[in-house]
This record gives sequence, C-alpha cells and structure tokens, in this order.
Amino acid sequence: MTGVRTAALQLGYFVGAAIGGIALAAGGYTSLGLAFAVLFVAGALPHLLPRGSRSPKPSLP
Amino acid sequence: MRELLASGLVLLAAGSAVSAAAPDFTVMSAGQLLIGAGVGLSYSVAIAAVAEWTSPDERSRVLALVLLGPPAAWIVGMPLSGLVGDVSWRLVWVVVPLTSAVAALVVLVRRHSTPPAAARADLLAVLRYPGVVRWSIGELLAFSAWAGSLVFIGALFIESYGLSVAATGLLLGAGAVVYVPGNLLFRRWIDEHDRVLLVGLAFGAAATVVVLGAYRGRPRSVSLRTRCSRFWLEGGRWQEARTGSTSLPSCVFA
Repeated sequence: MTGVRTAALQLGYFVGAAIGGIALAAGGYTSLGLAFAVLFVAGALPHLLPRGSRSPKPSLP
Repeated sequence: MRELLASGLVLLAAGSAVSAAAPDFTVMSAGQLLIGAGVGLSYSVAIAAVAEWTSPDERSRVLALVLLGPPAAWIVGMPLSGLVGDVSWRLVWVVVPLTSAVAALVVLVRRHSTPPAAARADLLAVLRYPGVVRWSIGELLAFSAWAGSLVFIGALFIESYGLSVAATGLLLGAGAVVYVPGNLLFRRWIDEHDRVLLVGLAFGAAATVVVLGAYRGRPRSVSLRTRCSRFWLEGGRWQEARTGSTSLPSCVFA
C-alpha cells in the first residue's frame, strides 16, 4: 500500500501541475482555483460512494 | 533498504546539481526528472524502512516522526529557498535540496546494511483487493489538487501581489507551519469520524483554493489567512488519509 500511495503522490505532482498549467493558461488564477477545487471534490467522491458487498478484510500476501 | 534509500538520495543530489548548472530548459527538465525519481524512491523506501528498522514497540512513534518530515521540510526549506532565491535561483538547488540530500547520505552511510526482504511485494495483487483502486483514485485526485496548488501558489503571490521571492518563501513557510497543528488536531477525531473528516476537509480545501484564485488584489492578509486555512485543512486531510480506519481499504489493516 505504501507503493500505491507513493505512486499516487508522485503521479499527483504531474497531473496537478499539468491540469494547473492548462487552467492557468485558459482562464488565469480564477480558473486555476476552480480546477483544483474540482480535483479536491473529485478526490472525496470515492469516499462518498456506497461500498460494494465485497468488503471483507482480506489478508495481503 | 539502505542501498535503495541511498540511490534515491543520490538521484536527488544529482538532479539538484544538474538543475543548478542547467544552461537551458531541456537540461533543467532532465534535472527535474532525476529529482522526481529520487524523491519518489527515497520517500517510499523511508516509510518501508520504519517497519524494518524499528521494533514493534517503537514503530508508531518513529513513523509519526518520519511523517512529520515533509511538512518540517516545507517550513524550513521554503523560507530558505526564498531568501537564497533572491540572490540566485541556481543557488537554491545547491543550498536546499543538494545539501540536504548529501547530509542525509552521510547519516545513512553510518547505518549497517540489512539483507533483502524474503518476499516481494506485488503491486498488481494489491490493486486487485476490493476498495484499493477506488481509494487510490481518490488519493491521486486529492494529491493532484494539493501538489498542483503547491506548484502554482508561489507564482500567484508574486504575480498578484508583487511579492519578492524572499517574501513569498517566508509566506509559504508560514502557511506550512499551520499544517502541523492541523495534522495533530484532527488526529484525535479520526477514529470516530474519519470518513466525515476526509470528505469535509476536502470540501474545505476546495473552497479555500477557489477563494485564493478568485479574490486576488485584496489585502494580502486575506490570502495569507486563506492559505493558512488550506494548509490547516490539508494537514488534517493527510493525517486522516494515513490513519483513518474506514477511508482506507480494509486490507491495509489486515
């Protein structure tokens, strides 16, 4: 899980910088703030969705 | 483990040196690639090393200290970068990341090497567990927002308020200080309200980045307060994401 989380962090730098650059070029800092707000909210959505029935406590190999 | 960590630090030091000496944007980009690889490697290995280099009794205490490293680095590194950056942007790469990486290497060399782990981690196997992909997507999106705002916030302060590089560095460092109490404060509520906190803090961070982007040209104190609020919320958010019991896939705790 550490690897997964670190990958998300490192990829996040790339995705965040890319989306931010596009938003800044398109509409200035107002768009930049809105773009990051959308990302923050989108990041919370997976935790709002109902859990599937397959949610036991499996053991990692 | 020690060799992997050393490799990450060497990449970080080399990338910083290349960036400091870069004659053009292409070489600078290559230096940044090295830095990215070095940070990714050293960060993930450092977390894994906590489990290998500590006894079960001291593990949580050491992990808490290790996780305070990144915000502590922002608090020290950002003002220092700002102050040195007023002299030369090339010097920033030498004074902050290169010196820090070399210092960490000196400490690491004094440590004995340990044998490789008996079992290899299988990333694809981990992703097949229920909830892991969904959780990872959430983390990726939230990290993207956090990292992206960190990348552009300095430029926002300089372009919107005409701040110097030194003043911007000090301002960013002051904002980062608030990360620590946010981290510590929300820790006590995590066990009972982790999902509510995770969602609420993310929405709070979203509101603050909108305010930061939309209300420029107002008094700086507004932006400083907004930025501090964002770091405070993020401190809580990352603490929650690290330790919250229901937000993490159940396999994390198995």
